[in-house]
Amino acid sequence: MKRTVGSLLILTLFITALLAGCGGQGAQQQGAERQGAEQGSGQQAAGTGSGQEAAELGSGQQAAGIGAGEETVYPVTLVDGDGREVTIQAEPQRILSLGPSITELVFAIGRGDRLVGRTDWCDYPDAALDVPSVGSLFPPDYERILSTEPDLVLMLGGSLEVRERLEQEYGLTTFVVDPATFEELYEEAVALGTALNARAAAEAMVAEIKAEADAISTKVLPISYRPRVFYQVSPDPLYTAGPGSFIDDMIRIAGGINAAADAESPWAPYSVEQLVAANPDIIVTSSPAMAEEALARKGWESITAVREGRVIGLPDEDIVVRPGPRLIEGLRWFAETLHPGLFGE
Amino acid sequence: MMGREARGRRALALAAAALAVAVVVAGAVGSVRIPPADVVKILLNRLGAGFAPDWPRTWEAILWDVRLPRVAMGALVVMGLSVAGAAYQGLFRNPLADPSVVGASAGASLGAAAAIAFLDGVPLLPGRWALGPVPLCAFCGGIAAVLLVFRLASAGRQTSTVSLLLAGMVVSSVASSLVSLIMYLTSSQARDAIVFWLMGGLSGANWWKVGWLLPYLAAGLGLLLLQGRELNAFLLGEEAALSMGVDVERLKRRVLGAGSLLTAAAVAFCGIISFVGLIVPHLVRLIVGPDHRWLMPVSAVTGAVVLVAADTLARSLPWFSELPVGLVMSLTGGPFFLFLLRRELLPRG
Amino acid sequence: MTMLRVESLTVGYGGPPVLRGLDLAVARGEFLAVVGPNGSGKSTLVRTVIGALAPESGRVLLDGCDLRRLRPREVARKVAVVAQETAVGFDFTVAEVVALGRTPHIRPLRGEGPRDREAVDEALRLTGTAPLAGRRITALSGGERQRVMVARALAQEPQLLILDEPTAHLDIAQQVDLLGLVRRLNRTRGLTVVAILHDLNLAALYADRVVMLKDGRGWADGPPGEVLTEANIQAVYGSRVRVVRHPVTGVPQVLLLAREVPDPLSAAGVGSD
Repeated sequence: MKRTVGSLLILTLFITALLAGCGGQGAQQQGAERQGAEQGSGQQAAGTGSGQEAAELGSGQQAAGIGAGEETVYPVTLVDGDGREVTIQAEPQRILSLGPSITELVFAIGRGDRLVGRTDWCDYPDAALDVPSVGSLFPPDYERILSTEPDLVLMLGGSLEVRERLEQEYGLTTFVVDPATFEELYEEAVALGTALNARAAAEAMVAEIKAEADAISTKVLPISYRPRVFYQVSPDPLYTAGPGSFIDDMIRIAGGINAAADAESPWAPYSVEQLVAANPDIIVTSSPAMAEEALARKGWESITAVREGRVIGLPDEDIVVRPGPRLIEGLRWFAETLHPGLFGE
Repeated sequence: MMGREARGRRALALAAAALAVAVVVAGAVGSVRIPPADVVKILLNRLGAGFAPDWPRTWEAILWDVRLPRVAMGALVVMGLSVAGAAYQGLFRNPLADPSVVGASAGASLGAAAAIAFLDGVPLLPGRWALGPVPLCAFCGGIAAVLLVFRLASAGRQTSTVSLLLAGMVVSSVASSLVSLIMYLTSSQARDAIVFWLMGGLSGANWWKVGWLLPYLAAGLGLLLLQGRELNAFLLGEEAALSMGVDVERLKRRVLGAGSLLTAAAVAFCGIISFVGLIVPHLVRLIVGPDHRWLMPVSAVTGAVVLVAADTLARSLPWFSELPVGLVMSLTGGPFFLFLLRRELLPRG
Repeated sequence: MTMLRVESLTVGYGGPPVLRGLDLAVARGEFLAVVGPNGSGKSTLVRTVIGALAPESGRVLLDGCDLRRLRPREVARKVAVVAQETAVGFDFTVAEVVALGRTPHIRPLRGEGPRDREAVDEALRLTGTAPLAGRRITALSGGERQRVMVARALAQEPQLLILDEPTAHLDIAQQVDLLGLVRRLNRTRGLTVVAILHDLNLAALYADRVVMLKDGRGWADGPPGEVLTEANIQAVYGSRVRVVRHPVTGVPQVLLLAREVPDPLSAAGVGSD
């Protein structure tokens, strides 16, 4: 039975791929492609006729078992980080990244060489600095954006207006990558990988992150001590990371409790009264300097964390703020900070 | 009579030439510099000429999709404001009148603020012709304000110009207070958006918005330009104009109606652009005289030149990535106006 | 032939009416002076006749047509008004101002035609203002400006010329010049003239007929000799005067009698004697 289904699938794929090669589009083909991909390696047709050669996968991807089936077949319709269905006509060769986390992701899955533009804020990895910048995005410099002639624009979730303008007025294809939790990061990274024909690399990266996250999570499972942690996004006005943010996720996975669990949104304002009432055991700030300042702040003296001197600054805020591959470093840091005995060097 | 007409025609030709130059310069300036000669060629190609393209393809996109819509929208909007300003200065027999005098700007600001604070993100038409709620609410707000002013200022079938001015002041100040109230009550994000919008800018310009704008501008400009002779008669006084056969009440309605159309449309798409409607007619009057039949068209073209130049300047300053054009106008217009006033007032003591 | 007829005209500004049932008729080619104390309704009459004010009751007939049925342009082709003073803050040239008088004749979308230019030239010639044609109106004296306004009115080619206290701000030479001009137009071209005058002597010198208004009604109507009498003036103005005959023209002239105004304090018996 399986064999009949399998060969039928292969036949269908072959025919529709041939048709696609002649320029037509097939929803059928995409459906089959997605299904086929889900079935895992070994059942895919060779010779996907849209003319795409075996694309170079990033380093470390040519592991055994990853066959030609992991190649993305174009045109492909994917669901992006904003829940939209985006159709990518051909393998993107000129990628424009409009977010530092996205730039990091693109490099991490081995497509950094295809970036034709980045923002001023994209500073990691070092190779990113060689990519020309299109400005700070405040406000967006449409002229520079257009002059990079991208065939795919990767964006964060924020500005609907910019997105609409790029799509409707300039006819560009945009794809949103903006995860808020680890689960979403895994999904969106794979979607991004598929979009860029680097699915295998993306999956490998995700597997690595997941493995470490799971390991940390397993380690803290038997521990009954869960410190209450407050993350200070900014001191004045006081903002914290509430439920739905990945910092919240990180605290939880690392075996802690978010003291601001009653915050109204992922990036929420918080009053000093609420903070004092929550009385966290640990306060995390965005930098060591901010930690010093927090220790000295008026009105915070009664908080347990302050009294015990457990106010710690992140070495680099980017590892928790940018929803990209370095989040695992942020998670690792949280684990070490919350349970030093367990995760110490 | 002949002398003035010749002057008017010359001024119009000169202004038109200046506008052409300004447009080419505007096309050349930006984060990607395009040589003016290529700007001209690309434009001519669009009109059918067959120049061989020896420039990167992106330049065409930048010029046609980003820069020119800005220029077009700014020029059109300011044409409307300049003509409205000239007409109002005639109607109120006051060289300090400007398009915002009967409340259109304040009403439009209120409409926009309300839309930004309460309706943001609800587009009214899909696709390229999409128009967010802001321009529509701003436009309706502007028109509503002027209608209110008209009602307040009318006694029976008569509407005195003094009452119009007073009612305009009242409605404008109430509308401004309401805008402040909205800003106070709303989120800081909306507040920032309102403030930014009020500063007046062309950043959202595209050809479809220009398309939306065009009918209002055509209607408003067309109507006003036809009132030139009657406005001239009006300058001798309302009763004198009446004795010369001018239907005074009808003239007021037409001028205010067309003027509000132009002002509300301008503010709806570009925010508050001040001073142009006041200074440009003033300046042009010094050159072509008070005859509205020349004053209005020359003001229109001159206003367009001023705006395109100001916007190009704003875009070319390296330390300001994009200064809102309304801000540039206020910063340069204010002192310039002062200079004009001193020149006029001093000789007479 | 009646150029202007006013029947039982009652006009007000929202409160008690200023004109109360006024009857008046002006024949073609007549030079009528309308006199009366302040508030008697003279300016109100002018405003009503050109259609700026709507009467509460009564009607106005212009050359046989009911005013209510005429549009402003049609009225302007028959009637032109010269006001006391024209505020011109804008510096038109004299020629441009006079050309404005052609407004009721020019079709909205058409420009000026040769006929219009002829009318303007004629108006400048008749009023003797041709030499001033290129000068700015703001640079003229009061007298010259009023002449230009008359020229503007003439450019309208009206059948009836209304003057609303045109000499109010002019010196005696300018007054005589202006009214002399108007009378000449009246005599030589048959232009009907209605002049609101505050100066009774000027009215007597130039008008064929005088109407004296009191409290919004006509008190006396007839040639100057009949209307400008000591009795009438006492009754209407409350002022005692002496009326004499002009040594040259024979028309009545009013001589003011300076009178002792009693000291209100001594009359009341206050203060020591």
